[in-house]
Amino acid sequence: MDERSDATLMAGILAGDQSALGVLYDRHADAVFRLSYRLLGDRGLAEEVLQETILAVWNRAELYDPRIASLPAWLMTIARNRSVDRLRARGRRPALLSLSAAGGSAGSDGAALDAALAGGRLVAAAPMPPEPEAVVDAAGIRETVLAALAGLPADERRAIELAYYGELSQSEIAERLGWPLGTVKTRTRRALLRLRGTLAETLGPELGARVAPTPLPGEAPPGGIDGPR
Amino acid sequence: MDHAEARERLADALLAPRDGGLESALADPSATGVELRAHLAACAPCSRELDALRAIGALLATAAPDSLAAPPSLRERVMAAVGETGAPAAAPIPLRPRRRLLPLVAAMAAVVVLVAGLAGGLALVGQRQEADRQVAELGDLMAATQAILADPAFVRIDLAGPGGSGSVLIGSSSGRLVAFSSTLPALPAGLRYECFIERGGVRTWIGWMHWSPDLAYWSGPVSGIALPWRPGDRFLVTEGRDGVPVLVGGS
Repeated sequence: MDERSDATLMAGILAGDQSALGVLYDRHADAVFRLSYRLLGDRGLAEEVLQETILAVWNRAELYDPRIASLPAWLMTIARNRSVDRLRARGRRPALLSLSAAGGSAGSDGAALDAALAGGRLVAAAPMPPEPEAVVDAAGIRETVLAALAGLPADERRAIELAYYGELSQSEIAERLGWPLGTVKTRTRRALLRLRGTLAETLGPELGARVAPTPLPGEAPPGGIDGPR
Repeated sequence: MDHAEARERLADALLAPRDGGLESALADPSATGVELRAHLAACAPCSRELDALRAIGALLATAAPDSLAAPPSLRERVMAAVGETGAPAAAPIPLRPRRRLLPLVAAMAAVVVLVAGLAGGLALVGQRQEADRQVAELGDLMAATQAILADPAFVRIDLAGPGGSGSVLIGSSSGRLVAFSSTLPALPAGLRYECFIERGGVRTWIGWMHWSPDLAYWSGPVSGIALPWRPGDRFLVTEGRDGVPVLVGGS
């Protein structure tokens, strides 16, 4: 294992040493990828952001100032900003960013984005957020989702985790767990329903309402009367 | 397609991220995809259900396990992309002369346009931070352009129309696309230039163009429509999401 410090690596990168960049990649790529994925919810886009982050380090290493931020914090700031750019470019409301960064108030998306970005724009911006992942963690959203997942029956949790995080198809889940395909379908759907129900209750009124099942036309809204028996 | 079928399709798609998830299901060119889009366009409750599932997807992503790692194959691709860009800049100006001259006239034209836009920006803006931002963004655009030009199967499309002219570069194997124009006039606040790909009469929104003085551009990976570019595809730039095309290109 290469034991050069981050500062030494950055000096090497400034001098055009690609092997130093490779070591930096090995050391920090997974964390950058994870942050981007958590923000974007899309592996392909998270891969793009990771690549752009590494390229930004290579092309603008001279802008890094260790007196302002640690190297991981700098990398995370680049990755976060690139992720937010993508959310914005796709015209998608950054649901979690707006709610956490704006302190849960119902401000406009633009204001929330600006608040989220207040920590600095791109690599040249000086101020760094105290903790890059605070964007996601500020409102305790991640913990709430983790708790909702933990509260699922074990089989259902397994099914949804393998499908969503493991990116396995239903057939592959059936094969891995030795379940009939129909059972996999049932358990993943039940897991999703149960998860939505829990999150609708635990995420607070604004976000909770946004994930609650939408009644079909003519149906009573959730929480209403059960209907004729 | 009825409500239950549409919702089942959406829920299944959400839990199939390897197949592209919800966005892929929405862009599905098959009959099922067409029916799904038609149902969602006509059914407000199911459209809200789609929004709710998107939010669920975003929430699930926040809880991605700490064991989640970048795919091992990505390292090689990233380092190859780094190799393409040459040595890092020694001076604090990202838009340095590249070591390797780009092989195509098209590429040179693109770079000239970018640098012209940059110079205009620096002269007009006068604020260091804004200038830095534009330099950084244009540097990214140049890097993306070069990456696409390195793609052996890249496609170039010339745009023309009431807005003047522009170019689109598509890396067919990478799925990346860069679109830019130096002739589009500035738009009033609240209105943006929007990019679409039209295939088989169906328009897929790609994104809105960023604006630096004298240069409108969009750069990024294309989602919502499968690349490579196909014969008959058209690229459109409109004023606002529902506006008329000001630039059009493709066969």
